Amino acid sequence: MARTDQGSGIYKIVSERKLDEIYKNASTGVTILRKKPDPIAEFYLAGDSK
Amino acid sequence: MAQEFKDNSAIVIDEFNGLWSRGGSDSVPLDHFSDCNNVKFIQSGFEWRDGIEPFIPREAVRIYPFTKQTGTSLLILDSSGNFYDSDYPNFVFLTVATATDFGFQAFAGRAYVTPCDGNTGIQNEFVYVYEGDGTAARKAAGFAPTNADGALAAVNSATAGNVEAGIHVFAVVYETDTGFLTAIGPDTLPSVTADGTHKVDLSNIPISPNAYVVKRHVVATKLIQPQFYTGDTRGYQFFFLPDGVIPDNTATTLTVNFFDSELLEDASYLLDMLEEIPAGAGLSIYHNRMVQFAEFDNISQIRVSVAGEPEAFNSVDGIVIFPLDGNPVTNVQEYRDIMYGFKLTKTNAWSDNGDEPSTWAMTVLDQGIGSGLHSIAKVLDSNGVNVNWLMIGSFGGIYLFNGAYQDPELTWKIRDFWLALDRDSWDKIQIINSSIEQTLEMTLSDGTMLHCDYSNGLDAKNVRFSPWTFDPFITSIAYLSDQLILAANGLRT
Repeated sequence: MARTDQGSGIYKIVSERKLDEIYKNASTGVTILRKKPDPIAEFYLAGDSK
Repeated sequence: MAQEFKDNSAIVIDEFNGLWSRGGSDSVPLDHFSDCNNVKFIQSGFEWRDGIEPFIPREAVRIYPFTKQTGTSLLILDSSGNFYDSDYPNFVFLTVATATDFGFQAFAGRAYVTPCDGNTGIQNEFVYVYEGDGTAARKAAGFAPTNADGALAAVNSATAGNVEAGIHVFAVVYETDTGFLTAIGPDTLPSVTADGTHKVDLSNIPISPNAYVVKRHVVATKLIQPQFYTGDTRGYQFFFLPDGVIPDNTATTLTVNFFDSELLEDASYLLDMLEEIPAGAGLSIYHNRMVQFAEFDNISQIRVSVAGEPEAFNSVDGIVIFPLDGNPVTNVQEYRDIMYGFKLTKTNAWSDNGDEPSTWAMTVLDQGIGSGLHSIAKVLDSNGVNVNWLMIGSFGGIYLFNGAYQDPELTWKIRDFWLALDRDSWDKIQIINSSIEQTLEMTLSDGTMLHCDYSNGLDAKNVRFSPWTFDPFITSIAYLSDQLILAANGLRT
């Protein structure tokens, strides 16, 4: 469940954006950028593993 | 050129077909991912999903795109029960403190919202109408005239006329600023024994105490022979009078004159009109009728409005019943002229026979597959049909539906993942479709999303899935002007 005010809000997906910007204070200019949770693409290669 | 290692052959993977979650690890095909997260599919490849940036600094548990005459905005519900329009981000147009979700339907440029808890409508709450102009919403429908508004009186006028000789009963109907016509009133209806040679003078015409009433209509019966008059003033057919429109909410007198042959527009359907529409779990549209379902006291009931009148619900014959089984109706969707009703594991169909909704025959479609409150995929910013399919998120998977559920389900290759979803929180699963991007986006009850790319084909073999995770806890999604919008109400732990 949600925990804090940070992260609350409505966001838009932006093409080619390298980070997730999850908070911006318009008056102070404070911006919180988070590295996007890492992409995972794991392949299971069947067969004998040596 | 693939590098060869001693005693091993290179395995070339040139197609990336997303998550596989069916059976053990050694059943994963070489071109699928045994684990997958935050992947976006591109031609012959995959990359990190796109990032997000703040759009509206407002926490939200549900959002909908609202197309009005001036453009498209977002309707937003926060976790305190406050409703907002993104065009007026600091104005609360409605507050229902116990609402944790809501249903929405646009009609004639207005927004109709019904507060709910994800299961049924909020008890003792109602459907509201919001004009989209930054003013407060009000309850939809409206109250009929009462004796306290004005004790309507009718007498033969001294002015010559041609109201046909016999007994005529008179009444008044209010018209609201959204075009809704109330039930007939006031409580006591006057009757006049006309002599055929005079007009009729009306006085003490009721005035509504509500500012949303902008017009009044006088209705009357055709002549009733005195020997056949029962005295039941509501037991006869009422008609709108051609000269009976009062274009304000202030005048208290009117003189009317008519031949019975001029009385063509029936007003009798207003006798049993609801004055307030109970809140349901959701709203939908069928054949230009508003549909409400799953109110707190009647979870298996579907209410259907008069055609073209989204607030006009007849309390007697505007009702369709989904067979009772202790579970609420979860969705109603029009598809190819049929009204489909859903519970979590059942699907039934009704067809408009041109008569009142209570006469529509039901067809049982499926006793094992149904839908959740938000799990029928909608194209961009309008409801329902896209390329001849509905896409329905059911307990067993996401099914293509064209009047029958198609096998295999689209989620065939991630069956284990799908079956592990929390069935007690199925109202948190929202599915939306982009026919331009050829993707399905889904919210899940743990605040993450499931991304589905069907650009290689809309079938179980060619669809590609990847979970998406964000630091914010995603509660709801929508497309606004082709852009994917995510709502969150905090950080995901």
